Amino acid sequence: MLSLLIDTSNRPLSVALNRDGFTLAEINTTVKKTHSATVMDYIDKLFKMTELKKNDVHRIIVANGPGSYTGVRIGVTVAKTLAYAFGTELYSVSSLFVVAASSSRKGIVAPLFDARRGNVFGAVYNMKSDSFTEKVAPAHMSLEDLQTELSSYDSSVILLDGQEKVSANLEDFVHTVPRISMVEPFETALEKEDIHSLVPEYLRISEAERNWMEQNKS
Amino acid sequence: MTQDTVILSIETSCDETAASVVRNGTEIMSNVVVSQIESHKRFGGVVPEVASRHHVETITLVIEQALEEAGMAPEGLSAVAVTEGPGLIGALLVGINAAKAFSFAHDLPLIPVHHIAGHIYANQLEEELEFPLVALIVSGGHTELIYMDDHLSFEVIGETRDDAVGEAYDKVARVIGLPYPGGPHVDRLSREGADTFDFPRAYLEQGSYDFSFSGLKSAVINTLHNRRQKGLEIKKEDVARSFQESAVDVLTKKTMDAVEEYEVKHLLVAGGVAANSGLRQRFESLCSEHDVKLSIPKLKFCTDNAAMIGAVAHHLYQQNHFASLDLNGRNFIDIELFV
Repeated sequence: MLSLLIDTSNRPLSVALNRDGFTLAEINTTVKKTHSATVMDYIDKLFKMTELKKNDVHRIIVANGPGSYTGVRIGVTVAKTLAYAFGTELYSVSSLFVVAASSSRKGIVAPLFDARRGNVFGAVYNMKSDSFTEKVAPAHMSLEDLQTELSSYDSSVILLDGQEKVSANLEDFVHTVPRISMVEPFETALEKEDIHSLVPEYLRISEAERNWMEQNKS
Repeated sequence: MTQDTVILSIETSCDETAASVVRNGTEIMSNVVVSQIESHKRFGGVVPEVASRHHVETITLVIEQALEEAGMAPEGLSAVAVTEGPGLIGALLVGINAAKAFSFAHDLPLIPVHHIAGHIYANQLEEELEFPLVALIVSGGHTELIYMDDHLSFEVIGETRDDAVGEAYDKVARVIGLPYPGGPHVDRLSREGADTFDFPRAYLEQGSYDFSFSGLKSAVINTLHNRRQKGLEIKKEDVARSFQESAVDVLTKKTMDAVEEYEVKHLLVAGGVAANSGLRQRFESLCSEHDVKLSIPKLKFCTDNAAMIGAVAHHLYQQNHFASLDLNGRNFIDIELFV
């Protein structure tokens, strides 16, 4: 079974072709480049590198957030359109889980992305070699709340994807390069999606909607 | 006879998610537009992040519907076209990435299209363009006079130095208490009023084809403010009519001057404000007076749609104007340097 995997949620970009969970080719970057200009080009390169035919793909797996709103939208738009055009199955995976799986760490891990003003998009997982349990589902929360949650475990590791803003206020953390090729052994982390109705998990309403709801409370 | 071109086009530059199939740049096989206007009404204008979120919700459905209504399989397509800009960047990126993915999946050439060129070529969906011509583009984001001596040759001879005319319409609508989008409401009210306020006409310096609508907008706001302070009655219909007369006077005077100086026989008017009845009527009488052919597209082709993108793309296809998979959205593109 050939899978095409796509993650453009934040500054890092990760695309891969896996056969039966085994990585044939992957491109992972952490440079500041516009995903909109690069992601389709890199996907094209994966097929060229492997000399595989595009329509041999059985399923597409996309990291559908949380993350940068624009970044997540690019990945989801590309994944939806490719799945529609190829007529393949479409799966989503949390962008936070991609970081957890990429670290190869066992035990309690808390991947998080900066959400500004002391807030993060975070989750807590108990990772085993090819299974996991979700302790805290992906959510928009304060960094403090996440740290309180983590203090209830004997040991835990905060995982970041290289973004500097959060790390400036953290003492203990590990940077991990997101590699979406690593998620496939964790079948329960993958959610089968309807192609047309897949939308990003922003985990936060837009600022305009927030202000509007504030003004129209009554 | 060369082979037919059948192009799937996608447009997501603002608040409509649109896809269309057009044959040979003129024959509309399908034209699907999902408007987000109901969602943006509560904010009194288009919110870019909200627009981008709506685009990703419907993009593949809109593409599928356009193909189904056209009865066209991907194998029958010649190319995929998409609006590259100008527009809201986050909104553009949804259409562009969908277009790139679709073109990659089906090995189709990818054609990047300038949004304003699309508005001009909306006229080609109804009748042939006769060169040389002058086109007036009037919308919520644009007020431009463009001279064309042939297909895909665009010379900007005038543009707004501040607000777009549609923007001024929306602001005036707001100060007289009309809902968003205000243009059609101001137009409707103006038919029941008289030009009693005699607002200023900004013709700018002699010989310039540029526009300015911020002074007119401020004049309306200040006049209303003064009358409210003095407790004087304000007849909304008269405000709407007086504002519209000023805007229409300036738009038509500059345009007809350009038509005369550039010796063209065909005038195109396009963009959302081209639907304005006051503007249409004035151009109709001026053009018949000066023996100039006037083209204003039907309302559904004045506002954003993908068929107009397909109409331009046909000519770009003939010139092999294709993009590679690293195509990105641009919020500003100089139309003169586009092709």
